[in-house]
Amino acid sequence: MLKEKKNRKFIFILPSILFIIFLVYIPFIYSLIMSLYYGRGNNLKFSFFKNYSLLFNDDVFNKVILNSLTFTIIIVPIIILFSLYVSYILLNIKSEKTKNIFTTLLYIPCITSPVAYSLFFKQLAYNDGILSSIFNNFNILGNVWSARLYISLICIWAWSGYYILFLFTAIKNVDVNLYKAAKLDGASNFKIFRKIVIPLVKPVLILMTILVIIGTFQLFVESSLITKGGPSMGTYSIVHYLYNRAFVYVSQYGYASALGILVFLFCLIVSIPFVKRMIKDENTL
Amino acid sequence: MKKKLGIGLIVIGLLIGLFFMLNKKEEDDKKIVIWAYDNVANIAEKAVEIYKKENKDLDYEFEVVKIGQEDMVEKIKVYLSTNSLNNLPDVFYDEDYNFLEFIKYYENNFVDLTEYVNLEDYAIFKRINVTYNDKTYAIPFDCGVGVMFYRVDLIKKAGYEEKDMENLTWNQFIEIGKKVKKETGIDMITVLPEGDMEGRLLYQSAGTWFFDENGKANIENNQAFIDSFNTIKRVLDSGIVYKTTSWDDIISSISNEKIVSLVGGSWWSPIIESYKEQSGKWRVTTMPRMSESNDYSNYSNLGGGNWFVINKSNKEIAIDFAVSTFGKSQELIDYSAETFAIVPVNLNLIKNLTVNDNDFFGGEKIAKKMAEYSEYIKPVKYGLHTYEITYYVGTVFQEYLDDKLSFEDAIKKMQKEAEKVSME
Repeated sequence: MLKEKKNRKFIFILPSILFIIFLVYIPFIYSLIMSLYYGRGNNLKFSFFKNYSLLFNDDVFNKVILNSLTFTIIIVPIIILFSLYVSYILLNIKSEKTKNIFTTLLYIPCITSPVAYSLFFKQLAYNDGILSSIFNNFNILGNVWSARLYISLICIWAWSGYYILFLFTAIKNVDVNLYKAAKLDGASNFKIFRKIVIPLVKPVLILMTILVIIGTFQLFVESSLITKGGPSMGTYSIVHYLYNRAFVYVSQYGYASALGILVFLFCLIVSIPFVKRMIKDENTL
Repeated sequence: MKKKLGIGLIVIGLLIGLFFMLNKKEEDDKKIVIWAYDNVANIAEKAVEIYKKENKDLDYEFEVVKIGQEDMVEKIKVYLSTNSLNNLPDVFYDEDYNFLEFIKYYENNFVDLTEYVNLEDYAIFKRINVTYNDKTYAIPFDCGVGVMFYRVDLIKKAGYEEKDMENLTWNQFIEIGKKVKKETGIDMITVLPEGDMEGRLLYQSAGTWFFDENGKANIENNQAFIDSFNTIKRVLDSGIVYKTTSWDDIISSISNEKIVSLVGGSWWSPIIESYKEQSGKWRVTTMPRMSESNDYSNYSNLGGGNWFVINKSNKEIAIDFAVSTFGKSQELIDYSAETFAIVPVNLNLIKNLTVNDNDFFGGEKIAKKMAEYSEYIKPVKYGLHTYEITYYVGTVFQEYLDDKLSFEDAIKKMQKEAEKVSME
């Protein structure tokens, strides 16, 4: 009887397993194999790790990695602090209706097409755009650092709604009596936030950090549409470079696959300590 | 239970099978699919109209798909590399720069058009970019002849006449620009950061390219390249440049009257013309030439493309359609020159080109004028890797402009990268 039940479960999850196998694992293994082939167009030769060794000597690759790290350093802390702050404020709003309105408003950027908002923000930063006139004709997209900051701010704007929703739900689930008890003991709002809220939502915070880092490393639409990777390759992202190598330049599917695999490995390595921590925290809870 | 599991698996298998069956196209479809981007897609529609008019009994359906260029090239590359010809169009249009990549790696998937295209009908700069191993693989269609658009009303304020703007050198252009800026306060020209478009215009005006005819890197020790960079630097330093960061910025600088002239491909003219309130104020003439040598010309090319026919079951009709319309139809060429300022490259068709006077550009037949310029464009073989090396050279050039690199180091770095790219 038990075995039969297990089989039934298997049938129910089978479609999604097949879906994942066909759309994730098979392409992944395929690109792993592709990454061992060197050459352009259809002129590919099996050459073990040549693509990987070339990648490490590739100036542009070093540049895009550095760009992605810069974006991560800017985006990750800001998005986490901002989301935490906003979700805590949301929680303190008494009227449910107002709370819902704000949550919806904050979530809207997440369901907006990245292409649509990227083009919109590009227009804002034109030479004759509104932003340029506010900043005394300063050319935002003409300077490496201002372009990086601009793209980072757009990503923060676009992605934070999702994380706010995450954190908001997590904070909401914290037992209200804990706050009340702390308040009775004379704790300030900041102290409650630091000593009660943050430790209790830590697993969510860790997950968020992983997701934002991975998201930043996969930055593509925003930077490719707004700045095309410029100026001076200052906003050129890894995935944009991968795309160019595979589809814009004389196709190097092997090289692009190797790039993709390296990004994957990087994300994996970054995620492992966080995931371990998360599992450890959950076990201790 | 095993039975249930079996049934479940069969159902899923059937569903997957059905999905693939639905996805598979009928091979013997009597349909010609044409892919093109921008205004060329509209021209393809006109071509279909002309072809249908001349072949009334033909039992074929034509479909023109207007698609973004990057999107199209990506799709074509993927379908070619996976050999899924069914997903490819029968006929498509793409720019010169990609020609060699398609043909070098996927020669068998393209129709050899040698017997249908008479290369003698075309200028040399076009001929050499549609042939591979002495075979013709594309029908040359248009070019983006490099010209100078300028505001006649503004130069007149500084005391210049139309004849003063003809066949200029860049040094003369800078002098005029300074005077015009002094009188009007408006910048003479705009240059994109990294100067990539301007660079390509200048290299070809001097008859040189990133790679030589054999595909070898050709930047270091190439005087024309060095002169091109120096020219761009001189223009940038002269104080007559309105700084822009993208094409959209250039467009807004036209609409907001921030620039006196625009040096670029002929395809700017419909964009300029869309600002009706500026009608009569613009003129077209040759672009300036580099001052350093008499071998440098006032003519260049930026953009322009050709029609390819894919080696598929319907190729007979596809060839007939493409050759008779894009290759030979005077009606089509007249229409595209008149409506979209597309500059044809078929010398016979240029001779008989009939276009109306263009009041926007002072009553001149600018399409014809630009087409005549195209005959003087110096031939260069684009080869492979144009976009890859353009991006890199542009970035290094910007590092030089920002004083991060000396001129010599910048040139060396460009050469090194070009060598690397050409060897891969």
